[in-house]
Amino acid sequence: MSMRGAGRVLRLRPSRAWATVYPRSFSTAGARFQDGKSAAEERTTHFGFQNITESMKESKVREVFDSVAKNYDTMNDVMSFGIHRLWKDQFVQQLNPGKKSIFSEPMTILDLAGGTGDIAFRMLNHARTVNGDSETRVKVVDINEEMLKEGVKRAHALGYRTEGEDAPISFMVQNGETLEAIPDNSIDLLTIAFGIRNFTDKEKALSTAHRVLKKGGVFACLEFSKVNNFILDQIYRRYSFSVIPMMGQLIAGDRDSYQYLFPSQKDFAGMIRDAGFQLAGKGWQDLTFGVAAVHTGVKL
Amino acid sequence: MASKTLHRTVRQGLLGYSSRWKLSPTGRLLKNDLTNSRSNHGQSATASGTPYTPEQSAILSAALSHVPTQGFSDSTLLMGVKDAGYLDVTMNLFPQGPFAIVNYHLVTQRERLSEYANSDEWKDLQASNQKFGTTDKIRALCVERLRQNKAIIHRWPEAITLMKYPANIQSSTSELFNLADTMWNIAGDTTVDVSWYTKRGILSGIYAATEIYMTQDKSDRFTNTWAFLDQRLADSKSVGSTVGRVGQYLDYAGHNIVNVLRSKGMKI
Ligand SMILES: C[S@@+](CC[C@H](N)C(=O)[O-])C[C@H]1O[C@@H](n2cnc3c(N)ncnc32)[C@H](O)[C@@H]1O
Repeated sequence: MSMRGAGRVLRLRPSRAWATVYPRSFSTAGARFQDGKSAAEERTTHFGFQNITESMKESKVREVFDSVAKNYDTMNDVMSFGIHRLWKDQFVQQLNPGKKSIFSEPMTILDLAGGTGDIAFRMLNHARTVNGDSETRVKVVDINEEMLKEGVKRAHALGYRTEGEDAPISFMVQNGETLEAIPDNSIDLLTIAFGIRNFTDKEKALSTAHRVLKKGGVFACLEFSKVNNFILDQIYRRYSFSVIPMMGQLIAGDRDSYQYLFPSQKDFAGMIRDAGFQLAGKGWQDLTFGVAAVHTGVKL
Repeated sequence: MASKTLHRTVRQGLLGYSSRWKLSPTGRLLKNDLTNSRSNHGQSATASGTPYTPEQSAILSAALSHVPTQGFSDSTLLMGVKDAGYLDVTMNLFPQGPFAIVNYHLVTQRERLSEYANSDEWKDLQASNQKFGTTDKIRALCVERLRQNKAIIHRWPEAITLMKYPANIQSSTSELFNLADTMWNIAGDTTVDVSWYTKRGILSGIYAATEIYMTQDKSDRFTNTWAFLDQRLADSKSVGSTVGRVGQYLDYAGHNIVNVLRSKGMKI
């Protein structure tokens, strides 16, 4: 898109002066279609309730997750009443990582926005225990080094090597939108759990995912979503827009990282298709009435 | 009003399957379904008219070729994926697992039947037969369709099991109805009224019963299956003129199939 480069200006401003409180605005799309004018109309993106410039978001995300890295797991438990563990279990079980027959190659899995490795460890465990495959490897990629450091600690505690070509699990700082260090057509399965909402440019992240996947490779995304039950939706809205940020404040000492907006399941499925994937079935599966959803696309 | 109750009875009675019709009971909608049966598959619809993308077709047809020896299973699906040149992980393209192979067979064979209706064979059959009435056409179409199950008939009970899973029952039922609609359409009966539901119900009932019968038929060239089909068609008298006899037919379609099959020694 033509205005993208021109629109990106990194400016330092006093902490929060730039943040307009602008509830429920999906500004990315709007900004893209009005063609580039002046620097004042620089491209903005939503970051929870705050509208900020895209360039700021990246550093903002990093900042936010630095502040929660240590408390992250507690926070997640509280946010989802611990259900996120079940969702993650189901997510991994369904993807069924690991080679299925002696004629198959072990898989190379990339866990994007992998944080402290919650998904990655489940993958390794599933490949080993369910499919008897101890060769399948996971690369955990995150923009935030602090999160990854926690992950390395956990890996060592679990007895996994993290260094060397053939390490079962490795950790790498990368921006998920570009994945510069990951070659084209090199990944069997790319997962992202509770991460896509933080991405400044979701379309770019999706096309990058498409680039790094092999032919036949699978993109799978677990994320909070739109509840499809009216009553639950009312409750959940209150919860996610007031309770979650409040608890974020109390427990992780950071309110901003827990204010999120996300496109509907159908819209997100459309974005996945637009990135060149074929959808699995209708493209997503709701978990717990759509409080979370798994989206799946395949590169064919 | 009589026709309204009739309508409802028809909807609720057919194969014990009602909820689907509460939402879209108008003939217009059904007609659209009929002429554009791929509409519910959205994304994958292609110019050629099938709901499958070329890649999906490649995988599923390869898988289907393994069904006679491997049955309808995950490993059959994996073979299809590998034959088509993809990865183990590509299995995730099919969230319904091996039911995807079953559905592929159902859809492609229904499409094939539409093509058959344009074939010389079908035209000759009609031309050479002065009194080739609606029931004769329906019989011929059922036979033509059932013949396509021959190669996998010994594995078909596995398919039926998959079709009955709660997650798959809606797809299976609507595909069965699509088949009935296609047959009526070819047979030249396209009126959309109360009898539409009835005819669809009766025919899908007869077809399903005959298909189950066929899985356990050991007779030479399935002669017993064709006889069974003839008997069912005769039972329902002239299946073309049904309005006014709904109760009778419903009774047949709804309750008697199971009894009829049991009386033939079927284990259902
Ligand atoms: C809510 S955490 C999820 C962590 C992990 N996937 C889980 O489910 O436990 C979101 C993660 O996304 C990472 N992230 C945000 N933007 C990113 C980007 N552009 N590239 C890579 N990672 C990013 C954050 O650093 C953070 O670790």
